Amino acid sequence: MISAGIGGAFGALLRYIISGYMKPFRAKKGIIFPVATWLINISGSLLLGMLYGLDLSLQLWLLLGVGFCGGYTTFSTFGKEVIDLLLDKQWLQAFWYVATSVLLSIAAVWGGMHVVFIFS
Amino acid sequence: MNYVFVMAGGFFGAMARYGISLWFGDLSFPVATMTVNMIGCFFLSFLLTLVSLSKRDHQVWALTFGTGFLGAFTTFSTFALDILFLNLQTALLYIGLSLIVGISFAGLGFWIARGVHLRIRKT
Repeated sequence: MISAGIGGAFGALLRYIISGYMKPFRAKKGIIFPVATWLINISGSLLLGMLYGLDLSLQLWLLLGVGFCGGYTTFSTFGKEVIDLLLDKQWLQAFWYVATSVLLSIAAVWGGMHVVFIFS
Repeated sequence: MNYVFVMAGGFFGAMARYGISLWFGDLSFPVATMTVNMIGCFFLSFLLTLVSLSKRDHQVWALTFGTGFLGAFTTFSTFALDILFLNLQTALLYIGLSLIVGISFAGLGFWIARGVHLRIRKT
């Protein structure tokens, strides 16, 4: 239980730092697309797939998989950002954000797992 | 100091998610992940809307409970991993339900927060 918490604390911290760096980048380019959360969710899924493929001990899985990857990626921010896009009437952006987040995350988790399978 | 707030929230958020997943146990449908994600969508939207409408600075609340707790409480990576182990029909149902209910709950959180804000301002 504590392992999941420790992993979650560092996962949340990394997410906070990345989204802090991504904000100005987003504003400068003038694209209203939640790049930070998008990248975080896809990269976190890739990492979780790799960790799953490594077949870690329960303790390490709780720390890195459940804790870190779980705390790093987020569904609530994703949902909030979709609502923000919809309220802003950015229908197309909202659609692409949802579609690419879901499809690429599934592909990433599958890819990560299979890359580890190939090399082990 | 912001880092401490986010980490404290993330610590308890991830533990709460793990606790709930233990409580539900192993089921053929990922009910635990779906439950935390749906609850998280509602409360994050509610909280961030209230914070952004408020005239006072409540950034500490947004960081601790929003970015930290609710961010770590919900998860996208486990959502994606769970899908790999479902058959096509169940996977599509899971994705569809998570998206529709999650986004609707986030919308509900926004509307309720706005209602609460208007009520507080009136009195």
